[in-house]
Amino acid sequence: MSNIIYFSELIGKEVVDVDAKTVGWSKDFVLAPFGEKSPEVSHLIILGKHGSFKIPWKEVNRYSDVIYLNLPQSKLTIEEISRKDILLGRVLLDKQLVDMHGLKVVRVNDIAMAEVGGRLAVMSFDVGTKGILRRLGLRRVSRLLKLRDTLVPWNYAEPLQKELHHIQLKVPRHKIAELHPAEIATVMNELDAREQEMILASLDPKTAAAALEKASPEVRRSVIENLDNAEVVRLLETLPPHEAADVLEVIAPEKREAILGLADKSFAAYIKELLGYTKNTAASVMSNEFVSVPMDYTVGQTIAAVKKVAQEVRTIYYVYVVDEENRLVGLVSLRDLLLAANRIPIIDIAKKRRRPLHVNLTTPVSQVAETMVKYDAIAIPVVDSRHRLKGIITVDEALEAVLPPIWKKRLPRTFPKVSKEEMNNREGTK
Amino acid sequence: MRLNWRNLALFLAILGPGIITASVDNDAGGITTYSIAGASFGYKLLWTMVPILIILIVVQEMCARMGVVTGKGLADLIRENFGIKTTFLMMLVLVLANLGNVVAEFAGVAASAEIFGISRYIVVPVAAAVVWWMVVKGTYKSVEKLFLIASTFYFSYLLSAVLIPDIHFEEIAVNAFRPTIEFNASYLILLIGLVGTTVAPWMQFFIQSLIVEKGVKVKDYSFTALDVVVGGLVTVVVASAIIITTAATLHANGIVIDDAAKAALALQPLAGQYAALLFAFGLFNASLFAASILPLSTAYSVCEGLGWDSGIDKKFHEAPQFYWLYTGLIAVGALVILVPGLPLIPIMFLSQVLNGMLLPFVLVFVMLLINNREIMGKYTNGAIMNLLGWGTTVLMVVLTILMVASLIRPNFLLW
Repeated sequence: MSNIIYFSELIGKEVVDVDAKTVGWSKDFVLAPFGEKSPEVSHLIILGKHGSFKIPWKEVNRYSDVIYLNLPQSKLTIEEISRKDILLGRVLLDKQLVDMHGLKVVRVNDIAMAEVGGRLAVMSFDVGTKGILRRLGLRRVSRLLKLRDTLVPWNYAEPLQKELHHIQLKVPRHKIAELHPAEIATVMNELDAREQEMILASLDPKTAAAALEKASPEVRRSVIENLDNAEVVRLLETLPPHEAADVLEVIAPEKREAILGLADKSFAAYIKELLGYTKNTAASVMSNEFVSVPMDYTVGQTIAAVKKVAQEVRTIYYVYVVDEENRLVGLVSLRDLLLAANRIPIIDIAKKRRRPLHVNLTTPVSQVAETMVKYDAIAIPVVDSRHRLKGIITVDEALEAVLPPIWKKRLPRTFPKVSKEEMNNREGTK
Repeated sequence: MRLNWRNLALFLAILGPGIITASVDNDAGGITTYSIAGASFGYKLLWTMVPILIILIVVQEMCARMGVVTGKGLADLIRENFGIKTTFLMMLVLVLANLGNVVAEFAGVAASAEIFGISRYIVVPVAAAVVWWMVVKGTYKSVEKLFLIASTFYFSYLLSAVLIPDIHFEEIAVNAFRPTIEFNASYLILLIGLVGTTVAPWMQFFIQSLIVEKGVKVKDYSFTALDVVVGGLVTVVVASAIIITTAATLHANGIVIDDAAKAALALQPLAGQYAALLFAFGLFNASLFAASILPLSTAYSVCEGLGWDSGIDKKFHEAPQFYWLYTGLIAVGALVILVPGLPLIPIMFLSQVLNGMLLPFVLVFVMLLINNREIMGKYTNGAIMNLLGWGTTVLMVVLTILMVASLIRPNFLLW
């Protein structure tokens, strides 16, 4: 078991060579290029009489109150510090990083290190008050207050400093990208504009767009204003239309027009249609990503149709049967499809069910949610006045739409800052 | 920047940080200091208004610029560039200065209550509780508008100035631009107090946080700069009006401000027998407004610098240090005022002198940061800004040394 020693305990110490002569004072460490494993120290930076220089870490013998070297001063491999050297203290100490576990931004007060296989490695970051007190030389106070350690292990930390990204050996999958988009959004809510851009830039478009959709209106606005319109379009096109509409809703109309002008025509048209619907009606939360089949299909053809679009639709659990004018005539469930023979006309299966549950474009969302609860439905089709199928609402959308704003305020990490507009709109449906 | 509707709309949208800071700037300590300046020295200190305006705009602009360019708060920048020990000291300075300010605000509450004839032992605890509750329960935003509207009270000073019987415009004009320096302790203290109350340390942290929160982009910076200038002008115009009216009404009649009612006499030309009530109302509003903002801003800045969680949207156990700091500042501020026999006017005044003495500490770091190319890119200071910035820092240090010297050895400066 290796002992933890803190950065603050190693820096500012006298460095003495094997002949007990003072070489200088320890100032910082140089990190060796690293990949997935924790970073290791390659050099010690010493402030001597004539300035700073670095020596390889293996020339250090041991350390306690003083750092003892294992060579006489004349035999040390003294090198100049190059601009490309990454200095542990300068890059990480007192800087912010993302705690991937607690999903928040924290500040590095101290760095916990340990000897691993003869090398000195960075183990975790002390982001708590104990670290502050240790740096200030007030360790007794933390003992008095019985403070506990707040450490973020290296592999749970995503530094925000650009320099660190440059020295990693392989192009690492940024740990942030491994989080669920909703979690990424939670983290982004705490970052400033610059950092948000950095995070987004490191994500693939699909994840970036998903994170953007989950982020608070302020973050969305700030991010989109910093990207150029073509990039925004690229992100938005990976989203389902009504989510793209959600994102665009908080943007100023002119910018929105400019963005939509660059997007695919039908995509833009549908979004404009969605944006035109009154808030908090079924139409404003519905999606056009569902499976529908003509009423003359067979079960076999229906299953084939489902397979074709399975990746892109919101749910494959229900398949909607429509006539030539796209009017909803019935629905079948996946269960029905799996249990029936391929050659049976789909309309026969659909007829076996009661008249399909549906809501209108103008139905308030709260009523949609009530209906879903009442009839144990996980999705409901939305029809217009001519009974044409316009979209579906899945239970997760309905839930999010009706979760009382008060709840959202109590869960600020998950629902960051419900904006005033949102609050007013929600209250409108009551 | 052309004058058209779009720019006007943009300005109004971005406006805020400068104007809000300016309104809070004229708090209990401010009103008291300006009143004492006019009452004790007549028009002789009026000349300080123009230099103070310049200093105010320069300092606030630098902090606003830092906020726009870096997107980070001042405490954040200090932490990242100067380390924990410096940050810790800076936070101590900030808490100390603001504790003084909060005490002054509650002194203002107590003083205005006493004009209305209500005991401070009732009003101060109630006011403290109300302020705390308003902010913590998040209803502050709706009340902010009320505060800002009530801040138009300051116009009464302007009106009063105009209505002063036999006012000597030439005398005012001459004194507005003729520097006179007296090397006695009271003059020096007032000088420091005047600068301290107008360019208080908390303001640098505050305006930078507001800018960062607003997310002002670099391309919209000119609006922010305009906002800062307008804010500064508002502050100094009001300050000048207070000095003029107190000079004409109090100094001219040899009245010394030993309690708030005397300070209220400055509004007699405007309000006659209602001067006291008008003054009390304005003082009460100003004190309450500042008492809502200052402790909160301090708590935010300290948590920012020391890396603690902060925010009124968090529950107590999620951000304990933030809530303790905020509550502590209000509680201690109010408790100090409840000590029997405490003279309110000197407290309100001396807290501003403390601001002035602590200002150089913050300014030094503002100057170092604003000239750091790594964080400011091409937006570092030009030569003139540096001259003004460093000049102010040195000036305040010199004034403080001179003042302390003259307090210890009153004959020191009489040459």
